Amino acid sequence: MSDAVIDLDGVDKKYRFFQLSDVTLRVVPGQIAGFVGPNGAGKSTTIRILMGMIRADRGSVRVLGRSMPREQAAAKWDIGFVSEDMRLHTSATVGWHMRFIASIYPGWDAAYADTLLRRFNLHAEQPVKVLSHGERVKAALLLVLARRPRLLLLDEPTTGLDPVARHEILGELMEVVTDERRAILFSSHNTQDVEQISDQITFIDRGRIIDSSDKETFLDRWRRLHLEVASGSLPPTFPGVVDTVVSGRTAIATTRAFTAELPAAYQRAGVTVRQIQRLTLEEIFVANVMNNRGPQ
Amino acid sequence: MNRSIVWQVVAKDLFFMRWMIVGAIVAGAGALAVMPQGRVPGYVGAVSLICTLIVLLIFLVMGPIVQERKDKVVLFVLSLPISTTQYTAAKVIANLIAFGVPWLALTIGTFAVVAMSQIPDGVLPFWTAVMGYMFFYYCALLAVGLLSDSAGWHAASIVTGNISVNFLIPFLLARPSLKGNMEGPAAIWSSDILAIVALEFALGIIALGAAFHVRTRKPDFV
Amino acid sequence: MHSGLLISHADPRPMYLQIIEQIRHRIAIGDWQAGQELPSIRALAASTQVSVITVKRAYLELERDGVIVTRQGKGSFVAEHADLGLQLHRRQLDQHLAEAARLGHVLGLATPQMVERLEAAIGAHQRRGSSEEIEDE
Repeated sequence: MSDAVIDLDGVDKKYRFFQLSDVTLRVVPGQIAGFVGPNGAGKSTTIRILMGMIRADRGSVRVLGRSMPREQAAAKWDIGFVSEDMRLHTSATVGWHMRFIASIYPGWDAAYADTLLRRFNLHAEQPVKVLSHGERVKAALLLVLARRPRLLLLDEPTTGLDPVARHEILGELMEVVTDERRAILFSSHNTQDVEQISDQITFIDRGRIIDSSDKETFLDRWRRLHLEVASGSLPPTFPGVVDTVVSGRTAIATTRAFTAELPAAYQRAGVTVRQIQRLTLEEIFVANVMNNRGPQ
Repeated sequence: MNRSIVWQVVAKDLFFMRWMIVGAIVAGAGALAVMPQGRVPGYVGAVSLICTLIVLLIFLVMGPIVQERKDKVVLFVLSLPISTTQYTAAKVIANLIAFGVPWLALTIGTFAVVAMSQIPDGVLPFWTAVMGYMFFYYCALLAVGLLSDSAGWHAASIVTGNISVNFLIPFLLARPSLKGNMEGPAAIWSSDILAIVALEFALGIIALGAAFHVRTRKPDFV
Repeated sequence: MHSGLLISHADPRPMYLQIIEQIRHRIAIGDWQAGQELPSIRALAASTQVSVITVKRAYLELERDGVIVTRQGKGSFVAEHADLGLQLHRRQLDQHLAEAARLGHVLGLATPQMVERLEAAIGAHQRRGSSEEIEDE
């Protein structure tokens, strides 16, 4: 318990039109945790709570062993935070920001910073105000990556980036966890990136955590079964099947708890299993959210 | 608690406000140069100096305080090892310095110009009350800027502040110690003028202190 | 050492299987020799830009199948008889084929018909694309 880099327990936060309820999230060193949810689900709010910018109404918030927001100044020595809506000082240059951060953090690695400048195709003399959205995000990421913090909290770090930039960023993020004392929590609605590099995935919708597991378990347990039923009958619903769509004699069942037993169970019930498909994380995400929201 | 991060943020803010500070001093110095050159230039100089300070205080509050919040640059600064309270303190300190230095320089400058020219010394208590009011106006707008994101409230505060100067001046001129003594060779520091100046400073500091207190008690900083 | 492994996102097979398959291939053709050290899990994860947990899973399965050996604190190495895993699969295939031959005989199918059925099965397996063979655990 004590070695978790992020430990959220039963966090509630109420706003006028939105509420975070019972958010529990744990990230250990060496992990990349993906935090996925639709817009407005509460990803940014949760990350701001982790940064001590927002105080939870209830529950405990510990980051790097420190209680937030009370110990936020101390915790932030070792946290790197980038959010998609964050802005740098428009009247300064990229280089000014690098020197500013270097003057505050002793862990600044100037050589690595220069490597990142080249890799991200940025220049120190560039004024921030001429940067495109993608370049701004890359600049902000450079500023946190180059000081090698133990924990990175990234709120939509690849949103709005072109594929080349995303590839570069994902590469740098993977480099971070070659050190198994470091960890990353990143929120995204880009499920491709989450699927590729996350170890742990947490789904959030409408302020509630709806599912949380390691990536391989998600990809193993969700399946789509293409079924053929006898005319006029309906396929049975087995535990774990979240959705069955029937049209004529064809049915498609989506399950979140697939085992080798399931197709056999269908066969025994007289239903032919024509095909078994895996789901991409995006499909799992959508199915999970739809199932959580219930009939609309 | 790391005190030096507060000073690093103060230094950063002052760096970004440097042209406003220099610009205000230069424009104010120009107004001071014009002041001793006659009756009409005296008025023009005085009004220009007041306008310079008003423009300065508006830019100081609307830029580094309000715009930084709206533009989400605050998220970048808060990502530093700084608490939300330290952040607010750093912003206020830097802003007070950025206003205080030109304000003090120009107040002292006016005293020097009055002492060295044929402008009657009797004008000094009046001028001190006006400059004290500038300080109060600045503190009040800074307080509003700390607490509100509403452009409506900002605009209302600025308009109220500007118009209130138009009421301040006749009010001051009607003070018995100033009436008739403005053109006199001696500065009359009566108790009611001193009380007015003291009140201006006190109200300014109270407004700012209250705003700081409310801001830092807010559980949601962003 | 640069692993030279590449994960394709167009490939419908899961990432951990792609890793397993590419490592097996390198061992089978002799690029990676018996006793040779494998990249660390984290290093391979970084070079292929794939989750650590996925690489861990691949290494665990390779170890389970006797293709690699992991020594605590030292790393993972190509097993001395790594092709043993492949031999097991070959043996399994031969067993299945023997059973298929027996069933074909019971049904009275001639050899060309058996070959036809085998080709259809191969075709169906390839066509399924994102389908998954159910692993008998």
